[in-house]
Amino acid sequence: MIFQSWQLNLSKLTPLAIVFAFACVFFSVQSSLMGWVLVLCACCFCIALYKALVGTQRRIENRTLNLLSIFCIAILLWYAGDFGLLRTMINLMMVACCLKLINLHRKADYQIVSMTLLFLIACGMIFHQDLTATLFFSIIILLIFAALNALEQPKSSINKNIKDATVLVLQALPVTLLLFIVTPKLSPLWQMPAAKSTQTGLSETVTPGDIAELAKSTDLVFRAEFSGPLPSPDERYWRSIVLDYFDGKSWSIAKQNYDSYNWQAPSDNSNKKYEYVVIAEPTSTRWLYSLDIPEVRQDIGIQNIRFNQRYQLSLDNPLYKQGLYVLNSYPALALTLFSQIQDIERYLQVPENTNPRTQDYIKTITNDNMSVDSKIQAIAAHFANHPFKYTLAPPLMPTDPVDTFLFDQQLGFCSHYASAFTYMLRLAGIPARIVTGYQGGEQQSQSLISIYQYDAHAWVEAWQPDKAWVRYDPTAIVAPNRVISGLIDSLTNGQEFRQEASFAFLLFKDFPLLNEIRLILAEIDHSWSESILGFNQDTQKSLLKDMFGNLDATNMSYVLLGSFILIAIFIGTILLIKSHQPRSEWQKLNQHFNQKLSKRGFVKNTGETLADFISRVKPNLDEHSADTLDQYQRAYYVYQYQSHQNPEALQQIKRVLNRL
Amino acid sequence: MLKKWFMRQKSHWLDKRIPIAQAYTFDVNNTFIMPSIFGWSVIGISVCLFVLGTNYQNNIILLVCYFLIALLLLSLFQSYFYFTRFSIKFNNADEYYANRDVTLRADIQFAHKESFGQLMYRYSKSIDNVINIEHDTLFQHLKLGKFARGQHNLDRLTFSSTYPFGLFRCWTHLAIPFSLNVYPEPIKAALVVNNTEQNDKADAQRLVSSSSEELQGIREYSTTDPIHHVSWKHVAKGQGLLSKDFAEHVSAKTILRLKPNSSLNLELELSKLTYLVNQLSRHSQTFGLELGRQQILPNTGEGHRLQCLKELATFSINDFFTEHQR
Repeated sequence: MIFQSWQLNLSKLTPLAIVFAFACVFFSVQSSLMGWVLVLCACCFCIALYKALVGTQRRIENRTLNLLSIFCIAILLWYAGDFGLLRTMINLMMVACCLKLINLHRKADYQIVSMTLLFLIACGMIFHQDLTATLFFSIIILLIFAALNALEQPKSSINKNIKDATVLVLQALPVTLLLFIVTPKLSPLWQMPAAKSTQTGLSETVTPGDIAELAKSTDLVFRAEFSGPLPSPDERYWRSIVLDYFDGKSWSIAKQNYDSYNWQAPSDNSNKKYEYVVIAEPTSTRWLYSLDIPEVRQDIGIQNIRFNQRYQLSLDNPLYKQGLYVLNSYPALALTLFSQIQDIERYLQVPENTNPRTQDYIKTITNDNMSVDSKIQAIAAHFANHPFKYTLAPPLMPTDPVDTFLFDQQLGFCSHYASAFTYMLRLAGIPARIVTGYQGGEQQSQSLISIYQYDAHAWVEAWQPDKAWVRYDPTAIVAPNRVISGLIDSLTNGQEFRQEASFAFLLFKDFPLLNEIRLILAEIDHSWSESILGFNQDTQKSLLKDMFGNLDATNMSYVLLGSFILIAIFIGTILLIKSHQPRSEWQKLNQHFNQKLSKRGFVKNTGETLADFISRVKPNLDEHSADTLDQYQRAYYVYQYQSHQNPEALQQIKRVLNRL
Repeated sequence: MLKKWFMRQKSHWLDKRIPIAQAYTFDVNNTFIMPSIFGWSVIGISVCLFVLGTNYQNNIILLVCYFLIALLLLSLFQSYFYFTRFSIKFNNADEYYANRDVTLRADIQFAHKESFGQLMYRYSKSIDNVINIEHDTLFQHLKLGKFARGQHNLDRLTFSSTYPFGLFRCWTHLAIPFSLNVYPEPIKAALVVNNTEQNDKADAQRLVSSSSEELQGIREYSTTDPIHHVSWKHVAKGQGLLSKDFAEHVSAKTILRLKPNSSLNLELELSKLTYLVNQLSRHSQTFGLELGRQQILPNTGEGHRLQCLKELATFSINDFFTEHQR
């Protein structure tokens, strides 16, 4: 059977697996693709799938393809400025992959596509690092290698190809882990273009109703692992963004100042303190989460965490991958750090000519002679004395939303309450601002709290001249359960969440067994984040220290050397096991034959034919043995020149061999 | 010049490294291994991934990078292991004619459990050909391309494999343990008989066609009879093997002779003679061959035929001229 190499005799697996892998990779990077690349990908996918299924060998002219690729590169370069280096590179790789995909003919074509896909998978990993994504990527990589294996042994069945690839990939895993642990981790060699993430999260502009959208999402936002006691549910206010500008409908940040302050926590131990590690999921904003007042113990990798006047933590760039940072929080301290230097006046800003009814109402219930406390009491009383309801699906309030909310609808979500409350405080002459963040969270274990998007919350901070900023949560007045036991229990109509939640993972809560499984999965996910994603220079050092004691340069080189030897031993063992597997039936017999004769002192030279060997040996043997040798040779010839699969001939050889 | 010198050194080195043998088993002494182009690219990708993973401080990307390195390492040993399961034995039983594809018969054994081997081979500068080893095939036919008439000392034949992922290429250069006699391409021709009795009357020619053979009778089959003389009609009737006996019109002593003036179209004449040698041998006729100085006395049988063909293959025009100058 001779095939010219250009007429690839492929098993069906290869093209199908490659097309499938392409589709998977496409979905993992589609968020950073340009519109026209999406269309190109879809077209190429259809063409390639058709070709793979039908098995047609029709090829597209190289000239056409070259023209197309020049055209594509031109468009890519045109948009490169807007898209940034990383996204342009991903788009370029995707286009290259597409154009090769529609013209898969030679072995090299498949190899080029596989290589591009491997690289694109790595790019996808910049955006997705959670456990499920990693498993997903692993399966694609396995598939690609199965396809590559099928290129090398096209006559084998698909199962065999997949099996062979799986065995090799599994053998590679221990080596991978060893290399991962031992290879020194370096700091970034140079600054890379930031990957723009499309993750949802809190936004820097809040229009009442927005957070209600977030509440429908069951995505994880961050996990906090405490090394001491956990804060009680009503203490779990995770500050993220502070909003201070109101235009009558929406709240936003008046001016983005990137101030940064270092503060020293009081050194005496009398203050209540929480020590915890936050593992934050990727987000579209640069704001992080913390309990008040945070003190940063460890930054995210190389990114410095800024601490500003508004007690927020922020990064210079959005968090495009999972990040881990360590904090101490001092909840008992009053927010008085910056009372001297703050410009309090700007927290009194209110838009004119909007929400007139509220303006009038505030004038009637407060006057300039009242103390700040009594003003706040009077305003809060409005929520307590009217039938307000806490709901995820408030009606639309297009004009004068605060008026409509306070006096007509009286249905709203936390952002409605916070917005209205802050507005009323400002009208009454009390500096106030909205804080958005997360409230509560699910306790996963004795030390771990998981915070999901539906924990998003908005509350109010009012300025009191003697106590500085004080937190007020108007939602708690209406729905006290929201703060104590979380969102779902606090909704007036529990069905609301059920209907709204698109992925009702949370509803597993209704079934104890499923809930158990969900908690175990969350636990696994957490260990993954902590052990793999959080593995950095420090953890590597401490791990190696635990294993091998103190590490100096000599010790470290011994460890490296030792691990290379370990790898060599591992691979050697695999090969040794393999080479001891029985060869073909005939070779086993031949080996047996050679052993028998070498026992009598005759060793067959390499390259010597059987006939030569036998004629050399025969004169030294007795008649019976010589005769048997002749029979052996004859049986061998019969076997050799009839068919390799002739069991009868093999039996004959075996019989003769036994007589020898 | 330098290239020639280099090639000579290389072949010299190879002769010492992989000596000529009847049969080869691929092992550490004759196997070379290097990353393929694809392998080098994957090494390049691993470096890129290391930089990407380090710069983004992304452990998953680093894991993929280490995974690729681990796989490369394993693949290196797997490739070698797989390649050294092959053993090969060349067979010189075929006849090769000029201007026809020469296919060399080789007995390739693959000692690997349940795996279907794939081996590539290449002769001199041709492209890689693929052999799919299946367990029930006896011989592999290796295409070497077309050769001119004559005796050829073959270059080394390159065998290679890129199993399991195409990352590494294992290869070896094997010397073929015999030289190739490429006979002239047979071209159909009418038989021009010069009986030895009328030796000098070169123009007195008699045309004989094989159709003039007349069936003389049926006799018992003897092992020397050609197989196409067996009367299958009788075999079918269950009467055993019987041979058809043909009357030979041509006299027992036929001499095939190269025409004296054929130096211009020597190859054509040799081709015609080759055809006749084969034809006459098929009909078990006795004939001799005279090529310039060389003479092969009339004889019959397979050995005689091969001797004649070899003479035709190696005949050179110089032999012819010296004859006439004399």
